Amino acid sequence: MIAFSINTRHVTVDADPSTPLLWVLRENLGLTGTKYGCGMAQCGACTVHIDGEAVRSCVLPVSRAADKQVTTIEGLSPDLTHPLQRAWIEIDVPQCGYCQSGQIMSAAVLLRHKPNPSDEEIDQALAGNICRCGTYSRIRRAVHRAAELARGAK
Amino acid sequence: MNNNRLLNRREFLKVGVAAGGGILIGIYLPQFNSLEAGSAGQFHPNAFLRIAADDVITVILGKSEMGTGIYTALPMMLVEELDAAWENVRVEAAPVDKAYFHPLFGIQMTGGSSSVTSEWERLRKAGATARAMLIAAAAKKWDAPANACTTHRGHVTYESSKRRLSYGYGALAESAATMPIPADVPLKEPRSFTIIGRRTHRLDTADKTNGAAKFGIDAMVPGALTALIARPPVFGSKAIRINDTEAKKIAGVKAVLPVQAGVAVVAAGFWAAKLGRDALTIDWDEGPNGTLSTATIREQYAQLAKAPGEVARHDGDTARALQTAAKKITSEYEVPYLAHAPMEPLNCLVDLGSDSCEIYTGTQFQSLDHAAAVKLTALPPSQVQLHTMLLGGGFGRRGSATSEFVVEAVQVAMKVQAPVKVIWTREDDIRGGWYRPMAYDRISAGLDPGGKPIAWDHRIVSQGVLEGTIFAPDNKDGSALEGAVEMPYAIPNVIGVIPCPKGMGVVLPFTFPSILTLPRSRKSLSLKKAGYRCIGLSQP
Repeated sequence: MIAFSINTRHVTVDADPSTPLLWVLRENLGLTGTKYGCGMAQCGACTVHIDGEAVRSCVLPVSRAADKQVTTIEGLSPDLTHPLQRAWIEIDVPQCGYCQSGQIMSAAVLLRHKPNPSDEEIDQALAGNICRCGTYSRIRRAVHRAAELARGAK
Repeated sequence: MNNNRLLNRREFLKVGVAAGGGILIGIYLPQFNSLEAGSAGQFHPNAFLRIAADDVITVILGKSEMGTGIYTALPMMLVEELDAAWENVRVEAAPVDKAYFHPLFGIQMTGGSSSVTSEWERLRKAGATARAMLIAAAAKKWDAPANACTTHRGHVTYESSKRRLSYGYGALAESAATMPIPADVPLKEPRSFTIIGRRTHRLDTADKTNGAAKFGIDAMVPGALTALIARPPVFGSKAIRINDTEAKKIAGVKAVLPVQAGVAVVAAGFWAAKLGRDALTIDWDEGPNGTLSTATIREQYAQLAKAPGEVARHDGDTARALQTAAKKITSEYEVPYLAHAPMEPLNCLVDLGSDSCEIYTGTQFQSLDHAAAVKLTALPPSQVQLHTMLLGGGFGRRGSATSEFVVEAVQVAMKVQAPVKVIWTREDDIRGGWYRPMAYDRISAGLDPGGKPIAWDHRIVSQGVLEGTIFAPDNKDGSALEGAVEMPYAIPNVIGVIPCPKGMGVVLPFTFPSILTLPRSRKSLSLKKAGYRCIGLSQP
């Protein structure tokens, strides 16, 4: 039994400790917003937060989440009000959408560390998140916009 | 794809009452329509449009959303004519039905950059018809002349010197369904468009921003197991010895089953299936393809580029023009086999009961997948339901003429007697094909003394992707030539030759020219064994 907090809810899961957190989230907890893309921390689709920092859940054993706070895309805000979500919607960032949970979760950590990131800082922070549709330019625009929104812009 | 051949035949409309009230409108292409004109209420799943009593407009789409925005573009077309409020518009994936057949290709499918073109008229007609019937219902209710009623953003309004009446579409929908179907509804002139041509927010963005969007891999039914398949290391090879002792020791592994695609490990979840698969020991008979490599294929293609082949275009006398040209340049070009690598690896969930088969997957070829499942299960077509999920990228990879990612999941489900989701790992996806075909082009150009091209000899060595599929019924496959045959430059002497590896004896996938797929089996084919067929003669 492994206990942790998921999107502020306390859970205990019965899973082999070596199971990647990704599959516990998706299969045990039904949180399918976090995606499987590569299983080797190469594409970023599985990005979630553990104690506020971005991790690739496809390679992280669930045992490493024990007693920690895990946040997934479903927990970023209860109602699409996170500045990143507002910016994503305003700019219509996603295409197929499969990578977007990971993009947003990586961007959320970036904004926490750097509330007003430059283009280069955005590119660098999101370099591990692949988008096969090629939405990168909108992602960058939306991260800038989210930074504005977080500062109270309209 | 040649889209200008889109059919413009007489379509006919069906209208019915929606369950729980409201109106359903469908437009049918007679040549594909299997449905008899029965009672109006009975064609429920095949409608294009449902207007509910609460004003919600549901557009039911047979097209797959793989990132192109089709779940927004197509509703825009319909709602433009319906004159409804955009914020009330929803999209629902259609079941598999002839009503949604592509007017040109004759199956339910998405691809070839053809969705807007193919739906342009019929979805607008559905919207315009619904609007006309809503007006008719309002006019009848108010005892007012229909041509004096107007619509605006989901309301029908009648205004005279004595009175002003306005009803929402939802309140009128049920009575609208009983109105006579107008024989011919006028469509808007483009200059009056208020939605088409304007920046319109996508309908799927919110769900793709909070994790709510459901892709094939997210589909779930109670009690579903997960299967990974150990796939052959060489295309076409077969497992001859399977040792599953260690695999079966993995907690959560339920079964190890040889299937057509390889060896399936069925488990409680992905990770157990993965560990189980990793623990298998399989001896494969690699077959004749064990020694085939990119290098040997390239060598063969380079030879073929100099060999005679089928002449696809011939203007003037290219051989002579090349000989007499002031300058001759010859270049060879090569592109490799490419995996489509959609972000979402292939997957398919199958829930098989004694008299039903529910399939959940992201696919571009609903009709073929459905037909394949009907054949395998021997169930009546109406008892096999395919639920189209969102596609985490398509690129042609999810339009497979063999429906292999659905077929294998049905085969596993038939053996395990439980709902099962087959997931491809990323490695399966990259190694497992189908691929965009390799191509080797040899171009010789002749220039006149002023440097102007006067001769062009283009040889294309590439496997066409349509051959053997329903898309090339005469087995003529022009897909490898697109862009070359219709080359837009005014060069007087042109010859286009395809010394293609043809007649390779395998069923090929249909894919789209800009983003071609190639079956994995093709990589592995011994080209010589399969037999090149070169037709026609041409020498530079």
